[in-house]
Amino acid sequence: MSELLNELKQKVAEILPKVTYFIGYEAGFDPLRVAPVFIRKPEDINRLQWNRFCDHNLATYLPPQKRPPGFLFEAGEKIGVLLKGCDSRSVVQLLQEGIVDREKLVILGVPCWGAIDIAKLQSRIDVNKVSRVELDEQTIMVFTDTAEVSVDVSELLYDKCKTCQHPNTLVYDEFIGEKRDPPQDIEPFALVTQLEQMSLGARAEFWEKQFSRCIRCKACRNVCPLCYCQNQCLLDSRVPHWTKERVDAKSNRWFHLIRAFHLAGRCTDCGECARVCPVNIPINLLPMKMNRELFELFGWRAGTNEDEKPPLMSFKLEEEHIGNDK
Amino acid sequence: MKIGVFICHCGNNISATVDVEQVAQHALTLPGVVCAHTIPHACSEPGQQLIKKNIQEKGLNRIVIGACSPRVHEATFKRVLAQAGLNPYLLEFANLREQCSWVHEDRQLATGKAIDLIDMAVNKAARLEPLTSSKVDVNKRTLVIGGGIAGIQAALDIADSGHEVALVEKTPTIGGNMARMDKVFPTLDCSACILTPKMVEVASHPNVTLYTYSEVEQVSGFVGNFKVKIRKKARLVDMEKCTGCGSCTLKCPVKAPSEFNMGLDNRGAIYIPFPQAVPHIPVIDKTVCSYILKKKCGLCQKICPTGAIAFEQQDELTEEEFGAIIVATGYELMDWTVYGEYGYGKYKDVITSMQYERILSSSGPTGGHIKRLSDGREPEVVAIIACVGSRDAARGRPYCSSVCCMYSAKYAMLTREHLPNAQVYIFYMDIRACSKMYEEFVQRAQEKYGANYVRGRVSKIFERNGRMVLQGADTLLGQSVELEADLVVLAVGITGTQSTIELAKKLNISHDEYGFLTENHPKLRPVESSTAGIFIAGACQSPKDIPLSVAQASSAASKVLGLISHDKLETSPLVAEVTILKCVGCFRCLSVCPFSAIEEQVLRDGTKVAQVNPALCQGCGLCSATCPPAAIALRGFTDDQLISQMESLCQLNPEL
Amino acid sequence: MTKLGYFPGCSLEGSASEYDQSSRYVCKQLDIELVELPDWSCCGAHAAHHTQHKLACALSARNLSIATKQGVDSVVAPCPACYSGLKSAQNQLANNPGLTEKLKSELDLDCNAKGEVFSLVELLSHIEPETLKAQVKVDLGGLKVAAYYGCLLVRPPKLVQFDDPENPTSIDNLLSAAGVQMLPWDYKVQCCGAVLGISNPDIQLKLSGDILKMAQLAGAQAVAVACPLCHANLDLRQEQINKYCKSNFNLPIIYFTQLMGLAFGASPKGLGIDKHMVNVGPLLSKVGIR
Ligand SMILES: Cc1cc2nc3c(=O)[nH]c(=O)nc-3n(C[C@H](O)[C@H](O)[C@H](O)COP(=O)(O)OP(=O)(O)OC[C@H]3O[C@@H](n4cnc5c(N)ncnc54)[C@H](O)[C@@H]3O)c2cc1C
Ligand code: SF4
Ligand code: SF4
Repeated sequence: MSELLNELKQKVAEILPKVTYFIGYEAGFDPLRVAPVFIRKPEDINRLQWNRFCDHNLATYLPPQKRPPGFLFEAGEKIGVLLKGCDSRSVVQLLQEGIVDREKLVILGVPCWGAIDIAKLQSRIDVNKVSRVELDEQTIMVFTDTAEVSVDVSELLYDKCKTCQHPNTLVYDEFIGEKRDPPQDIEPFALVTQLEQMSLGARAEFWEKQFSRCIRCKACRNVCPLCYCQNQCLLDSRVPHWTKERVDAKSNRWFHLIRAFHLAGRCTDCGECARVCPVNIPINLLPMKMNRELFELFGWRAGTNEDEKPPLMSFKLEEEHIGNDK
Repeated sequence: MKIGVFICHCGNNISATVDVEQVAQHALTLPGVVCAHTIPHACSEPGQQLIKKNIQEKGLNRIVIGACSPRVHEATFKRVLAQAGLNPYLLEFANLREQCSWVHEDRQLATGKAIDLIDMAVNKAARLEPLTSSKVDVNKRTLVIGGGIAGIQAALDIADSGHEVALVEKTPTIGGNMARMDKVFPTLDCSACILTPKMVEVASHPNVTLYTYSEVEQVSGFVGNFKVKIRKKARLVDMEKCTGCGSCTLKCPVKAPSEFNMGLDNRGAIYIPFPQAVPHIPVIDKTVCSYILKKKCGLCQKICPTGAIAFEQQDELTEEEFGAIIVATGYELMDWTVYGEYGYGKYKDVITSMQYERILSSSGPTGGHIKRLSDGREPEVVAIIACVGSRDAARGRPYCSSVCCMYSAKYAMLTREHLPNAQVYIFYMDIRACSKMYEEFVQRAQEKYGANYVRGRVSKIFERNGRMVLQGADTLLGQSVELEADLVVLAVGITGTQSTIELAKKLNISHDEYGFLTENHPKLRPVESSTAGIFIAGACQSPKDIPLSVAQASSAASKVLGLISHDKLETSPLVAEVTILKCVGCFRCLSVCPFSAIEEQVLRDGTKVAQVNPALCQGCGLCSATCPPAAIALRGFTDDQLISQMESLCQLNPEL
Repeated sequence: MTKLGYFPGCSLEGSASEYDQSSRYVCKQLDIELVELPDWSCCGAHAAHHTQHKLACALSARNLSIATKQGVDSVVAPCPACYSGLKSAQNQLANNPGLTEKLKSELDLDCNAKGEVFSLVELLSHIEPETLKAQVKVDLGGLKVAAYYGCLLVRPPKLVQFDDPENPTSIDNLLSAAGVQMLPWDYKVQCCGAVLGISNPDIQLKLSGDILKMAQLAGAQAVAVACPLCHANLDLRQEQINKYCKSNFNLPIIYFTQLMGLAFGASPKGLGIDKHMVNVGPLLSKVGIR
């Protein structure tokens, strides 16, 4: 890891003169957390971090629509960014939608072994009082002033990392470190399949419960790299009035279902929406379900194939898998 | 908001199943509704008067009509609104007939549904906005695609009325399938005698531009303003210099099967398809010419007295503009070699009807003598099998080819005229001879020419002692029969063509699974295609004979003349529209629009947003379904209007 | 060694035992191990599917399940009628999802029919001609034979998906590889009259007579068959045919497996050739076999 970090810093130093800023990770408010960082000056390069806690999808900062003033840039300027395999799928989709311009990106690729889901540590130790962390390839040791615990990293991985088929960045200008062999025999939609094993009633109850917990903070939408409509978002619109602003299970359900439809065949399974949800709703399962539908209908997985046209962004008189039942 | 609701009895089409009074009473309780009436026939003169009177007296500004399908009378009522001084798009039409009374039996439930439909319509009406259409110029030129008898007739009718026509034909000559025929039913006049004068006339008509050996490459635009790219394939013969003397065709050493003679004999690599071809100019088949393939030979070039051979010639693309298009691309025979029981095409003396036409023709490969292809002998027994590839669902051809019964009778007559001693047998399923003089024609074949009609299908053909043996059933006798014949003619069914399907895709018009083009309405709009400004004529629409093809061609021509008699056309205001403020510039609308109606527009601050070209937009609504922030909406069907309908539908109806 | 389930069917146990003998012999020579399905039952023949489709399907489903239990992937049936029954049952089980449960609930039949179903002709056709040729020890080049396929071996085409339904060539190819001179002719798939031989013999005698006539016209010295019923109609009834058609055919009717067996060097007796009604002996002596 530290070797990779050194290499990363070196590379960033090389590209920094070409870009307006470089987006990476820096240490967060405690040893378990990292935060995104925008490096503009060479002296800041040392702030960069790269470890198993780097879970944010930095592609979120790329659509111009989502960038705040001051982070917009003049014609001819470029942005540098560090992307994991899953994050790079978002960029592929954004490229296909014409939202970001490949020419304006300098992408550094890395191999990824999966990120640690801090929520999974909570039951073993109070993650808000951590004073020190020791991490190697297999195990993590976490210390608070009064306790310590040692856990196998593989037990702490995000669910999405367990079904990930893309451990290496898919589009990049330079790759740091060595590529990993993609894991075999992965069932990418396993989480949805599991959920669907519940009876219809049980599933309805499950979601009703989730929707009733949702506080409509819209963090899921705001963090999503593909939700770039910003103020124009249909879910904020009064005319047409698709959803009520009221926070109750019924209105929340509409909110999330409409969002899932808008992400059909576009969601790249980065899982950011579920990660940022303050009440821990596994909301990524809804777009994932749509993704599976699209996969079954069109053989399409968003962000995995740069050269194909997204099926819901094209018009064909006849579709191979639709309406040919005879 | 002053909404008037009018519920039609439609005679008793609606009122027999729906309690129209109850529906009207209910409508009065809805917000904004100031009057609700029932009318025996809303579309009739008194009905229209009642609506107008109410608009004027009560100052109505939104109208809801519950009646038949909008396809039938929406236009009528729009006119009523306009006459009463209201914008016609302030009308909302609820279909209480096709979608309610006609499909239900229970009066109470049907009435409940009618109430729901009116609820929805009233709710939407309250959100309607006045819309205005714009006008576009109409180009007066017409494109006719396909130079068979139908295409020729249509082109001549339009050209004779003083308008310009371009006629595009795929093969080196016009004439189509009719040119292959010897004599044609029901009059048995010589096909060439009635066709060739028309071919010459269309080619020399001052208003007609003829593109032979050409194909339509790309079509864009819309009714009144089509842009068409035409590919003129390289003939490798300079049409200006060539005098049509044909010396080159005599000397060419290469042999290839003649398309015109249905492969019965050979032509050269340079050839004129048939003696009366128009234009009478040869073409070089690049796939077989030795000079093109191996840079050897070049004999034609040496012989040609005017130096017209142009090996270096390239395909040429021209782009032209038209106001209307007629498609007349005809038919071909289905691939009958799927019939294994008839030998898959391996017996020389089992031939197709079209081959028989060529054998009967005096300009054909046998000079008009009926001979067996195997040994040149004159046949003593000729058997004709009808419905090969027609009315045979098992072979994927459930439809009737409509002309085979008639030409089979024609063959009986012509065969007996050529060979008075020959016997003719016709195996048939039914005899379909339903046009003027047709039944008499078949009778004549039986009575005067002694044709033997055997009712039943042939199940097997095989060879025995040099003759063809037909086994089958005589379903009238209830017996199996076996017939030895010298020549078997298969009346092979007619099919639409792959070339028509490809063309239909370019033109954006619909076709069926057999490659026949679909008319807009089988009864009332038989020559209109599914796209405005594009018409269809002849056998490309369905199997048909020459009289019908010609009639349809003239009918399509008159539709075109009606269209181009206007200088300007009103476009429909029901098109998509972008709310610039909401557009986030993702251009998903642009990538899904099947009509290329969406363009990029750059605002002053450099942001890019979508923009609709209302002349190209067909109002299909794909874009508005695709747009994530609902920035693009279809006028008259905005999200807000549709949501209001859904909301009223989801409200529980207290009266039920 | 290829291993397959073997479904002989009733005819091959009785009237067509020579077809059974010769089939087993040929397969053995070609390194194909036939495992006879233990406790197989009748395929139901014509009677079953004329009375009730489900019954016909159940009978064959049972036999196929035995094969699965036996651990063999595929089943081969020399008799075209048995083959047709098995194949159509397998097809129905695969395409009619409710059927398995229906058979279970109504007949208490557990069916688990996984493998493929082959006719013997189809099975042998998968073998390279070179492999066949390598087995040939006796030259049958002097024999002119017409291959008669009958109705069921290559039909219905959608079900069978093997060879051409109108002009099949698979038996011709097998026997050509075995060195026999095969003749082109047009009656390869014409009906022999099948079971009408019992209920309405006039029709069968005429139809079978037509076949013999065409074979003779084509110059055949013998007709090769692959079906016990065709064999019975053409061989057993040849004398009756002669009476009915006022003809005097004397055409040996030989199972294609017997001809292959002869070429592979087996004795005529070992292949049951002496069991036929029309004496094959004189023809065989012509090519030097006794
Ligand atoms: C065996 C037979 C005998 C018949 N005998 C009679 C008879 O005796 N009497 C009678 O009334 N009817 C008869 N018919 C019917 C008659 O042939 C048709 O009614 C008639 O030919 C239809 O004319 P058409 O112009 O619609 O089509 P076609 O004659 O098929 O002409 C279509 C033309 O369009 C061209 N074309 C096709 N695709 C393209 C393309 N993509 N671009 C440009 N050009 C294209 C073709 O090359 C062709 O020149 C007979 C039919 C058959 C099969
Ligand atoms: S789909 Fe909607 S947001 Fe996207 S470009 Fe078109 S109008 Fe604008
Ligand atoms: S409605 Fe939209 S997608 Fe459809 S034609 Fe018009 S602009 Fe194109």
